Amino acid sequence: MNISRLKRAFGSNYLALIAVTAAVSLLFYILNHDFLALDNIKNIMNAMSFTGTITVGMALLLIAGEVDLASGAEACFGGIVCAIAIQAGLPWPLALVAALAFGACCGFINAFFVNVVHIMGFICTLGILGIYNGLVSVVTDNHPVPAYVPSFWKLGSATVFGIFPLPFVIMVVLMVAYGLVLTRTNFGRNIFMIGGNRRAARLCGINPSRIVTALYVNNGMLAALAGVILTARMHNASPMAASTGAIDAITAAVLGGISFLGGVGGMGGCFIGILLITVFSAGLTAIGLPSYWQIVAQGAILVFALSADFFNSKARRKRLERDEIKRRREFARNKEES
Amino acid sequence: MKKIAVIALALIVAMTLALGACSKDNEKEPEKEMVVDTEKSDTVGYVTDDVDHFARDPYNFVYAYYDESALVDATFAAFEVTGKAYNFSITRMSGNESPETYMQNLQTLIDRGDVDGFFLDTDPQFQDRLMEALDKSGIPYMNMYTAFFDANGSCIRPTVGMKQYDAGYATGQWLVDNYKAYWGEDVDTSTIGLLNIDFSVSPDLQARTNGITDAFLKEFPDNEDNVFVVDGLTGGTVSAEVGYDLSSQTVTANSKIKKWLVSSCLENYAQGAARAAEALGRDADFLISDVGSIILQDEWNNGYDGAWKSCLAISDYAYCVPGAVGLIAMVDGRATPETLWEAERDPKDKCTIWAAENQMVTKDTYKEYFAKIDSTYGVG
Repeated sequence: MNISRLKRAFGSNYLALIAVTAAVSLLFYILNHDFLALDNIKNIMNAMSFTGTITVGMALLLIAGEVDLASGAEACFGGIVCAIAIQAGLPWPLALVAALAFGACCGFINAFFVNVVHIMGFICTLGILGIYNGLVSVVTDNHPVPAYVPSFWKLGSATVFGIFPLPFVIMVVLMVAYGLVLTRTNFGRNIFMIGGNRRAARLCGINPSRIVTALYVNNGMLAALAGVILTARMHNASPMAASTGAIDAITAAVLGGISFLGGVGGMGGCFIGILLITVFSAGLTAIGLPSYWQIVAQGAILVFALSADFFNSKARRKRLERDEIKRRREFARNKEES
Repeated sequence: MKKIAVIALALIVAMTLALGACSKDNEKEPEKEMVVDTEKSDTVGYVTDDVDHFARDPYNFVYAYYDESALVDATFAAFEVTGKAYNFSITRMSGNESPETYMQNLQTLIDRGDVDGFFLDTDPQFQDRLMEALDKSGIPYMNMYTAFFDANGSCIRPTVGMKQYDAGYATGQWLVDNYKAYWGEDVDTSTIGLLNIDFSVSPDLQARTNGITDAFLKEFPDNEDNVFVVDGLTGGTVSAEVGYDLSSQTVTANSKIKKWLVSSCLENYAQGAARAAEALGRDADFLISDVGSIILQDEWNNGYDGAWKSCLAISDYAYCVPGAVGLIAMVDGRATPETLWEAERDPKDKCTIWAAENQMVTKDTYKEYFAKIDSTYGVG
């Protein structure tokens, strides 16, 4: 047995998260034996898919040191655009494309304010969130927009092999694809570099603005896709849908090991983060915990995630400083000897 | 240092002027005297009022609501139509979900001096400030949907609303009266559960939830363990998505329940429950009802025929017309808040809550209900 590999594994965030998820699931199973029944597991997979899809785009932004607080509103708007297009007589695949294009435009607008006007992503997307929320009410008159096309509904409710909900499969495929982009492509490495040190990345010849624009556009599209899936599930697009989408996505990403400061993280952690949150939420309902305590628990998990991120980042910085000091001492020693 | 002193002085002067301006509010016009026509007091403020509303200038009313919603939009649209029939114009004022914004906007309208009456649709948590401002102004107002109560639970301002507990009870009662029609006579009642979707921060909605639960337990007194009250507050918003999540989580985590009676204080949650039933492939095991009919009407109009079988329908005109006629009576001086609708008053109340006409409807009966309301109130 490779002791150092095992030590590294036990020290890794992923394993710790998996252990916590397993422990929480076991606890809920002890309290309610139906918790790990097939129907409930399918339900959890379904519940993961909407936030998980938004989390994919958000994770890339966070790794690059950016954030989009308007993701929930973009998801809502994407669903509404799709429903309006369906009502106007467009076949639903084209309506889906229209929604994705709309999401891309939303992302482009965010990127403009971040890159050209140089407003911090946190602040500008917070303002844009208000604009989109208002526009949603204007466009829909605060009424849900129906999307009564049975074939379209399958996007939100079909299953693969009779077990895996289609939205869950879409989420997993996206996570695997974007995970490969992050770890196997130059573009992915550039995202990490920008998140780690934007100035250094620029000096290395990377164009941060171009990459950040691509990430915001991508995030807008994924949020719109999540909104369309939700619309298919609900058979209409509600102006109140996805209001906590961005916060849920950030919580899942940070819980999964993605640093809010950027430069660190991966899709595997995102998956486990969203799984933990969904298992936690489903479990609290399954055991019948009073609602006010559920809200406390959900808030606590966000605080836990952000605290863990803070301490991880601090430890990582200390480790890097230690390694740098060690490297410089070795260099100085070698120079003396030579 | 000099700069700071100048700024401080300017702030002090500004504060002094502001305080002085506030004190001028005390020198207001005396409150309008209300004149009550006692001979017609049994019809004053009713649709059958023998009043020619077009013998006067149009009144200018404001619909002041706390936050945007589909219900607010529907109510405003109904007021616009009602205004044409009863000779008043209506504008809207939003509180943007903030008591401070609500009070500021309201005071601005009061100070403008051209508003004859208010329809208030707001959070009763700041009712004292609201009543103080409006009573001082002398402008009559009518509460819509949410009543103001004193510490003894007595309604203290005329309100058009609904007896929330009764509405919930009626919804639950429909379920227990009709489940056999959908599930057969020999369904095992010990496996019937109630999924009741609540929104606990609203006392009105909580009252509906209590009514639903009581109706269920009256029919199934041994099924107390089969009652699941879930709170939409945990989802953060009033949306079908939250209803879907809560319904699916509760149903899949309780396999001992084979048949679900599902009810909700809000139609959005019921819609989510209907979608959950479809997604779980258990339409045949669900029977869903709710309080509120806007969404289900839309679904029926688009051919829906799933587990969501009924709702408590309340036409917007059933609220707006009595509210308008009652407010006009107060503005005219023919009634006061205390004398309006005395015949309808609950003995414990100081002012009347007018219970809007409502009815449990199904896909076969909803059109008839709305046609009846339109003809009763002469609008729509």
